[in-house]
Amino acid sequence: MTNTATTASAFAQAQRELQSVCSALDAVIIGQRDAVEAIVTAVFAGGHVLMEGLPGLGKTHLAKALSATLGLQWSRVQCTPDLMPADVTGAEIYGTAGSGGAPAFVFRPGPVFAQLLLVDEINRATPRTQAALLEAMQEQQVTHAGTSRPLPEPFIVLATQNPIELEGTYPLPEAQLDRFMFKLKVPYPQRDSLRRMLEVSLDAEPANSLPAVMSPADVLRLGALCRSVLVAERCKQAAVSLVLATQPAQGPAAEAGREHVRYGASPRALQSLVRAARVRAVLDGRAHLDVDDLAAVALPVLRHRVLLRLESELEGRDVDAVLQGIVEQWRSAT
Amino acid sequence: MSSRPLQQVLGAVGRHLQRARLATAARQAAWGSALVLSGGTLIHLTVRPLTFGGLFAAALLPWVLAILQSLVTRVRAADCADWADRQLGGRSAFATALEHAGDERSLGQPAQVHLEEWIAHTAPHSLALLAARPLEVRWREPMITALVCTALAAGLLQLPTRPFADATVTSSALPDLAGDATVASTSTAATAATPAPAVVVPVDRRPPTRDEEGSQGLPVAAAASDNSQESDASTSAIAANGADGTATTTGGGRDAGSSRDLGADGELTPTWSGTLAKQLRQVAASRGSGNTSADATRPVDYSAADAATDSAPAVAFRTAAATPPPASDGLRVGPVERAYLRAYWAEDRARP
Repeated sequence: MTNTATTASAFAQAQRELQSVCSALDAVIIGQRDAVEAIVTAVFAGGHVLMEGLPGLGKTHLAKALSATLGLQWSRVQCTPDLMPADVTGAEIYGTAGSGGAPAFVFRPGPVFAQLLLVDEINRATPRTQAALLEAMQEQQVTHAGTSRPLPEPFIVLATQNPIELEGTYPLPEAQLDRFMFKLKVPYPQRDSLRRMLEVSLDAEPANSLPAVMSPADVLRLGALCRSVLVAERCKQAAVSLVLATQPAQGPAAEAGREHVRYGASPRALQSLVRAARVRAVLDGRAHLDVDDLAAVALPVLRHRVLLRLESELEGRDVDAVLQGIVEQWRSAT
Repeated sequence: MSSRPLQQVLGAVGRHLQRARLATAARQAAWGSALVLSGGTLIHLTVRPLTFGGLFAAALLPWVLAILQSLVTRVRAADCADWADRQLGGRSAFATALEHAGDERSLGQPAQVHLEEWIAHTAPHSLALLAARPLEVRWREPMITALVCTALAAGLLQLPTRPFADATVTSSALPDLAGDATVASTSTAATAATPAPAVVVPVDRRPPTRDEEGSQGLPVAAAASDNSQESDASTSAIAANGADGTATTTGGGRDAGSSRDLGADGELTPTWSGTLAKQLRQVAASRGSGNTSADATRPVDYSAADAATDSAPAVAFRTAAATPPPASDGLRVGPVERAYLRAYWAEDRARP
């Protein structure tokens, strides 16, 4: 009986912990509640996040606050066109491993060897450097000089990119975009949020003094708990239907999908959709998935995996608007 | 998982869905009954007479089928869970619990236990929602329609059926009166004054052509009837036509070269033309022995001769007319005449 009560309260405890993380971040990242919840969802689902927004909206601040809240070891890479892959993954340098030892080539880990990696303005790095992140993001290991070195757990990449000043940038290829679980659009804060910022972060960086709500071990534990969320067949079918609805050439594509989408979401998007929806279910205090959870994470999961037709882009159509139509049509059918 | 709250919700939803299914079936049966009653009434008025009892029994058939079908087919537990998830705030919990009921791997797992607790917490709210949910079936339209159709059918099935057939029966009785010229003419006049198109045989309104002038007396009377007397009348009519000296032939339904083919008349309905053709074939068969003489005892129609000189609207009721003159030189003496002659001769013999 005690064991049952313990297991039953595990999800309730997980919900409280996740809510406390969201509340802590919400206290220092003013007016970005949706972005905060999405980042927490992606982190506990084991995914990476690409944030897009204008400069000064608090993207870097959010990453720092997240690492502080979760007690993660974090590092930062400011991407520039002359950034080399070794600057990210690490390099072997000639030196002594310890005091008094014989000199030799020693691997010096790069900033990627952190639990939370903030890659600022990732689209300013060259494709070669961007590609160096691929293995790290997908395999959670770095191979250098024939030796694979695992990355610490948890390993989370938060990348930011600027939607303006695109001269001299290297837009991320689709294959690399697909490795991000979420693409978040950080909106401009509302007037009240701007007013509150003056009280919270005028003279100090609140993320520096943010206490840790949980440890990296707790992050792993909650992640495992989220993976045990029960998924009914109805929800699985709904997730498949949603991904197929973005495919213009296969299956029962939605009307908006047929009309505006050039390339739809990949099977990896389907996996990301369900993984993220499970965390949303735990955030909602449930141990089972619902179709509403899928709908809640559909936009951040799909928006960077769907390519619009050239005609639709020239007409000024936004991928979010197209996806919104697809999701609404899908939701009414499920 | 067979937790009590889950079973309670699924049972209540199952009963609700069963009732809804029954109500929907009854609604469809009402529409079906209305359709059957309407169709039956239409058939009664146009094709063949129907009894109200039979039609009512047919109208009950959709009810029996619908109720049987709704009682035989049971609502599945998965459908109940799905419905409860969608309509009663289950948020996929009932379907999930039902699917993982037999999964031993998840027994005692935190997610399973939490799901049970979640359902136990949600079930009262779902049951309350279900209790407050009315059975949404629109009864009014189909029921009113079915009742109106029943009343109409009950009333219309009392009316005389099939005006064409009734009039045909009436006209078929006329040849019995044909022996009396007074009665025949009165009957013809009375029938002609009737607006109903009873035994109306369309007559060609165009002026007779040269080829047709000799055959204006073609009898068209007593056309459509199953009565054998009708056939006899037609037989005698054609025989009389031959007696007038117009071209008559034996065999076939048409007087070759001199008369119009009534069966091919474009103004005749298929039913009428078919009946005429059938009767003419019967006449031809009866005259297969080459006997072209008219039967003095049978009525014949001379009204066609009037139509040849009359350019007035030629649609008129034509029936067997008075006894025609003998069509052959041989004298046929009937029993009446024979009795008359016998009496005459007796009186003549007694005369000094």
